[in-house]
Amino acid sequence: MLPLQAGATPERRTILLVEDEVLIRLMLAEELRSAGFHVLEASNADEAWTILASSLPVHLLLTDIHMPGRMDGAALAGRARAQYPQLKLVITSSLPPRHDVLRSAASFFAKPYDLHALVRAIEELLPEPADGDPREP
Amino acid sequence: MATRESRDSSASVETVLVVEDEVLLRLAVCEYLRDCGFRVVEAANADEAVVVLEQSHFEIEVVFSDIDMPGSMDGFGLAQWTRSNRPDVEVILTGSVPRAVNAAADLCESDGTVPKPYEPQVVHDRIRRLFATRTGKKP
Repeated sequence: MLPLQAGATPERRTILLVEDEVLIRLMLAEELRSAGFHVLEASNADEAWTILASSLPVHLLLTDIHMPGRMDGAALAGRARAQYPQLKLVITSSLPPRHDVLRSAASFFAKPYDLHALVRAIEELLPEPADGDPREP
Repeated sequence: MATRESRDSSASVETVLVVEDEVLLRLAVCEYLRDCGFRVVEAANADEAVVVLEQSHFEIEVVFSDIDMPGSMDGFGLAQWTRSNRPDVEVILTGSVPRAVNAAADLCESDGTVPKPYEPQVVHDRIRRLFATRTGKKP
């Protein structure tokens, strides 16, 4: 494994947050950081896949479903689930997602969601301390 | 080279808006600045940056932006927009990985609230390694 980027260590509970609406992403990222999580922000699914394919540890993928770009959140979730089956997945959407997408997620939050409820759910999914990087065999 | 405008270097910066479309570079620079003690807000392009700058509650004091970015505006356009609409905000423009790293180090050195956590070369090397994990894409 390559040397870690500053701040991203396997011990820190790291969330990859994927959201194309910048104000929602910033507010959610700040809330998660205040709760003690290490947050990597991606503005679309392509950026998220770049991060997942890098050496950065990620413990939980939190993604919106409806996003512009080559891949939407459903495709990202499916690809992440196939390649990293241990990666925890939480999805958000303003519309109900497809059944297979919903089934693959540990949790689903319909927009507009309660920020604090979302953070509480993630705290339950990622109790401290985080296990090792779930992408590693 | 970083462009710095009308700023008292003794002032204490609280919030920096980092605007960079290359996600791994953005993450590395943001982590570096957070480790220096800044509150950092991230934008993936100039359009996102404008949305953030229009919200006064984010209390952005410095925009740290790449020059070459896709979207309706590049870094120069964003600098012009900021000068017109948020003249209270300083703009630092970077144009390449080394320039971004050096500008981040300069900012940490001049305004960071904790000692600079690592040498610019170390940050640069880390970013290069991150990029090297991606096929065909090198800084």
